[in-house]
Amino acid sequence: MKPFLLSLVPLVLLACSDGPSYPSYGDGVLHNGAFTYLCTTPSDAYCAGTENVTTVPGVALGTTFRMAFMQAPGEAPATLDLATSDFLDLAPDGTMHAKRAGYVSVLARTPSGTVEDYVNVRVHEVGSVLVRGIDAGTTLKVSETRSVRAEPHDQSGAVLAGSAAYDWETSDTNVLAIDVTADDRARGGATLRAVGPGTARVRVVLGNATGTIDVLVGGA
Amino acid sequence: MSRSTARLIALAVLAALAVVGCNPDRPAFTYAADPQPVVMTEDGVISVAQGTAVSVVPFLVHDDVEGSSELAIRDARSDDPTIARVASTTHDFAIADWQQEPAVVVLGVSPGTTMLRLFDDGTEKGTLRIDVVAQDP
Repeated sequence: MKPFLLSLVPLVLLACSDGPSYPSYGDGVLHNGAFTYLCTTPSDAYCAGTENVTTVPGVALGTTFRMAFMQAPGEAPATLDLATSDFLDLAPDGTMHAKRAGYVSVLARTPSGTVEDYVNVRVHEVGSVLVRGIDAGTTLKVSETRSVRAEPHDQSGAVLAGSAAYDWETSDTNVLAIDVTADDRARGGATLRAVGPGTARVRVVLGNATGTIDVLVGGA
Repeated sequence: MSRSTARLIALAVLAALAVVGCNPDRPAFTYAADPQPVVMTEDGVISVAQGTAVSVVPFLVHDDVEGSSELAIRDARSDDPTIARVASTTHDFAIADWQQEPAVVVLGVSPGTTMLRLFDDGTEKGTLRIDVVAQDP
């Protein structure tokens, strides 16, 4: 009886198997390496400053970012490549530009072209752009300045990653001026400058998505 | 056992051997990882969204009198690289506790249907259908 039961053990183990698997390492689909998301500028709302994140986030359409791949110990170094260039452009310096919404696979290839691992990145349409650094109903005094920055969100309200050059507009330059310096642009922001009493609407634009906030300017 | 019974059994065994012997090995595959997004079109078809990759382990099912066995495929090629491209992976997959088999990555290039042609020692052994599906944002 015992030999019979023992002979069933491999069958039971096989039946309980979860199916194909690689030795697990990193967060690539094949578990053969780790993909890291890299912010190209501080304007990337997903990164605090220039911090890099190990979880590949959803990316906003029209933005840029970079990625890195760290292969499992003992594995051949690999360079990044794309399944196709329909959704992302990959520049020679490794910068990726999100140009179409959808899923795209980023591959880590060895010099021989073999795929070591890959990860799926989702490019989202931007549902809304929030203006951070000032609340609706805030009153600025004439000559007061305020730094603000843009933050892209998807349709469900989740913050999206990616660096972008946002366009900023004011509805009334006699009330509120908007200055965008090189530093502002790098951090995805602008500097609001109160000019005269009244209310002005600040509008930030990223592709087809916009965000607005009304700013009140009181007396000096 | 009578002579006629023995003859009948022998004929049945021969017939079974003949049937198995005439059956070509059957192409099959398993996904090495879940596709993302999931774009299943039909059972037995490799489905992949345009712009994405899916890793599959192709193999041949060899039917035998005592059961079936699997033959690993190390060489798989796309009929139409403008629809789907194929790349090999650096590692074999563990499809069972004691069995490692090579995987290939199928890249969805443009919407359409093509075939994954399976080779063993340079000889074509069968095909698997690949459906590349367009993505709606």
